[in-house]
Amino acid sequence: MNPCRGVGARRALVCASLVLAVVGAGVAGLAPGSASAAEPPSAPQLTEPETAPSPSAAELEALQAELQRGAFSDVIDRLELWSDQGMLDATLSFDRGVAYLGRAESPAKRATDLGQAVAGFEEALALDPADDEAQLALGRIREVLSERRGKDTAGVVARPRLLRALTGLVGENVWAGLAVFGSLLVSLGLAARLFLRSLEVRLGGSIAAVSGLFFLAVGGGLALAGHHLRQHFVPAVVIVDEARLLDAEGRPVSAGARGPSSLGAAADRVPEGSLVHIAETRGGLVRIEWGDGEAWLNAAQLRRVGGRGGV
Amino acid sequence: MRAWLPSLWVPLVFALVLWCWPRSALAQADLELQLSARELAVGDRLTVQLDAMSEDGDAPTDPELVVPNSFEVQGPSIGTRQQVSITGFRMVRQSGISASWLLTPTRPGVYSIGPATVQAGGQRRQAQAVQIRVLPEGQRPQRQQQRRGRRGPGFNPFDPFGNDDSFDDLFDRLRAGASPGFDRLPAAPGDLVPPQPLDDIAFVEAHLDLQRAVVGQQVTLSIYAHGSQGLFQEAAGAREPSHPDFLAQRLVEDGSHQPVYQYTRDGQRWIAVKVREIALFPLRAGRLSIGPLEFGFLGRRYGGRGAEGLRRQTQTLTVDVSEPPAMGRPAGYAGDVGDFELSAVVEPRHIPAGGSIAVTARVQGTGRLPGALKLPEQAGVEWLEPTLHDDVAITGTTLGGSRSFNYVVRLTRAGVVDLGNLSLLLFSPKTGRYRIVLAPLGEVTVDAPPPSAAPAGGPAAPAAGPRLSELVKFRTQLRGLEPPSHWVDHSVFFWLLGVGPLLVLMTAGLGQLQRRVRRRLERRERSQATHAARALGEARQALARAELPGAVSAAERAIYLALEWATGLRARAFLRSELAHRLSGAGLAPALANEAAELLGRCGELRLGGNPESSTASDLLRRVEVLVKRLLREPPRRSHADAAEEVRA
Repeated sequence: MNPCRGVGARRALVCASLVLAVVGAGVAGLAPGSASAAEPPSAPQLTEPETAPSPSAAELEALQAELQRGAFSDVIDRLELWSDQGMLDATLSFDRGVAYLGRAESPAKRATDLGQAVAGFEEALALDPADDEAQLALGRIREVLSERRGKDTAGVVARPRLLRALTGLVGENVWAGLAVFGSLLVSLGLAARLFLRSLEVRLGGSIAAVSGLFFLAVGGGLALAGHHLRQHFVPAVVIVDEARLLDAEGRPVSAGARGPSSLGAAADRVPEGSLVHIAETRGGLVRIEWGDGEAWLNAAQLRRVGGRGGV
Repeated sequence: MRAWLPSLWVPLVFALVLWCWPRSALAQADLELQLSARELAVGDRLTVQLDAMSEDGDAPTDPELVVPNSFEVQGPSIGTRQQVSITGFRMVRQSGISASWLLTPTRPGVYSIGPATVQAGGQRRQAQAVQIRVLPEGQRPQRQQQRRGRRGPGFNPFDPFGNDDSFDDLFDRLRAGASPGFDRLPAAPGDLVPPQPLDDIAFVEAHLDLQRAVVGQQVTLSIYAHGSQGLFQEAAGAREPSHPDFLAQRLVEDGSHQPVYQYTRDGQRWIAVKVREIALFPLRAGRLSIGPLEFGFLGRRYGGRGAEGLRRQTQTLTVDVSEPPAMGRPAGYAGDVGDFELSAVVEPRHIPAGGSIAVTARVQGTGRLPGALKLPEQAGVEWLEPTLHDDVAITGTTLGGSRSFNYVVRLTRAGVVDLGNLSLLLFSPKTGRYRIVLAPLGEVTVDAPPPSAAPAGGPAAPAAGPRLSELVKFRTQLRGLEPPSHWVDHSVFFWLLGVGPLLVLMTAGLGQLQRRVRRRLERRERSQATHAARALGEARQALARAELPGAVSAAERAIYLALEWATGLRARAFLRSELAHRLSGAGLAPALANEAAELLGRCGELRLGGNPESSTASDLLRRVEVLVKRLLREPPRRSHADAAEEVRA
């Protein structure tokens, strides 16, 4: 018998134990439904949700007729009522965006209509990520809003935090799939390393196990990060012309006080239609993540986007 | 004729001179400067009013007042006045202004206020200055108090009996029964009298008319001040109750116009007066709190005449506020609560295309006045922002009144346009139900524009590019899509990550365990103890078969194997004579070593001596069995051969 074989097996056991520890930690501490899984701090609550039947196609056609008649507010009122009653459907969200957009371009326009339209399309997109029409409408509305704001803030692009950017590169399930692939690779590599006698095969197995560990760590970590961001942050859209950033006491924050930012002089206010992420609610204020920083906003200046963050 | 001329010319010339005299010289402005007090304390407010009237038709302008530096000045606020007086057969028409300043002294002393001047008839006219005396802060000017007592027939709740000095010994007289004044006060209502006084001298108590309300419903906060030491006034610097979650409308600002009640509790006479009443409208749901009012009782028996007075404060109150029910909530409900009626007037009813009509809607009722009405929107009808006119009314403690919404509506499409209904969506707390109040607007006839006017920049003018709303179409089919599912939301995902490596490791571990067990079994199989026991067994079998030489031979082999187990020595390699010595040297007990050597010798003798007797062989075998058992109890010692084999393994 080769005495070195026992030593290699012990190493493999140590590596595999690490893998299992990581996985175990994930199962015990981070898996949804586990005792320690944190609830979103400010998960939005719909007031007295009422289980109402979904609207029929005839009702929606009647709304469409009203919209063509120019009765935008009536249509919006009806769609908002359904939303308040807890109905969450990509079509209803999209139609809400259409109605707000129509009113924004009518004589009956109101100040927050374009922001509300953005919120409707964002919600539709969250519920159906393959909705190209909603994506197109969002892009065009944001272009209009950017042009309307003028030269000083036209170029404002809030760069997301690195973690959010990484998790947003591909879908959360893609990262999860990468982790599963890594797990499979670890399994095959360990099997080759432990059960086969050919030196070349055992070497290949070791390489595969290490690569698998890397994929498992990266994929699993980013999938967990995406899960964390989804559970602890609620997306929302700014519906007023400009939402002034505040501190925790509600005092306006100047751009300089926020520290260096990629947003420059416009860093003290969030423009209409911007997507922010709510981390915490305290009275009439919400703590938001916007771009690479955090600040507080007046909650009335935001509309939370359903279909994400457990809404 | 010549004698008549001089007598005629003199008055004519005089009249001509008067007629030609500059009118400005004739314009005598009448100025009067009035002060609200001649003696006041630092921090008190002094109102200075200048009335300037002129008879020449041009009202005086540009009033100015000279004020010492020790005063803070607000104003002037200027109002116009017209006055007509008839004296005999002469009517005098005067026009003028009334300018008011509000002065607040910051230092005590004697000061001169004025002169006050106005611009009248091209010149500045001046009213004479007035001297006043400013006392140190906290001191009460005696003249002011006396003036207050004489100021008119109005009822002063802090001086209900018309005494000149509000810090008099009223209660001393009341206690002595010398004055019937206390009993002339109205008796306090039952709910105003606390079961136990909260303090021996004075306290303030707050009441809410509702403990539970819905968002937008009126909750009335009433605060009464109770004093047992006679009349009191409110000291300056009261800290008002905080109510950040409410919209507030003050119904009672202070106690100066409120009735004073009396009651007796535990033999002590108290007076009570409402000092605040506030209509509160909750802005959100939850358990909302209303902060305390800090009130200062100012009076001789309430802790001296300091400006702070005797400070007392109310308790913090809470109201449970909920949203109006979701059940039955109409679409477009904007949170209005109350009972209102709605009416509307439209005029004119006939206009050309592009023209406008006026829609005047009036909301009247109780509750917080609605901020907006729901408009009947349609294409070709543009509702402009309304102008509002409010007439707030307070009925008892209920806020209400009316609000007019004046809309200008532009109609751009020709034809008979049915305007639809203005609507107001309400929740009525009395009935617990929603109401939709409608006001039909009727029809308006819109004439088509003349053909020549149509192309000239009308509504049909080409728009610049497609509108955003034309990019998206209203959808009428629900997708019924489930929200995106995420693997990480399911705990099976984490098990999936671990199950593969876990299975491989478990398999590897089991294989290793199996190999280790097998190796141990093999080693045990190869051990001398096993062989020794096996040889003993063979010896017994041979003895039973009466094969005595075989039994002796097997017993001798069992001893050698047991010795090798116990000492690691191969005893066959040594001479019998030195065997005992070698075994002792290998750590075996001397007695055991001697016995082993003896038994081996005995076995040799019997094996070489031919056919031994059965009894002898049986005795020998018993002794060998005892020896082997004792040897096998010794800890095993590896032979060099075994060690070498172990290393090879």
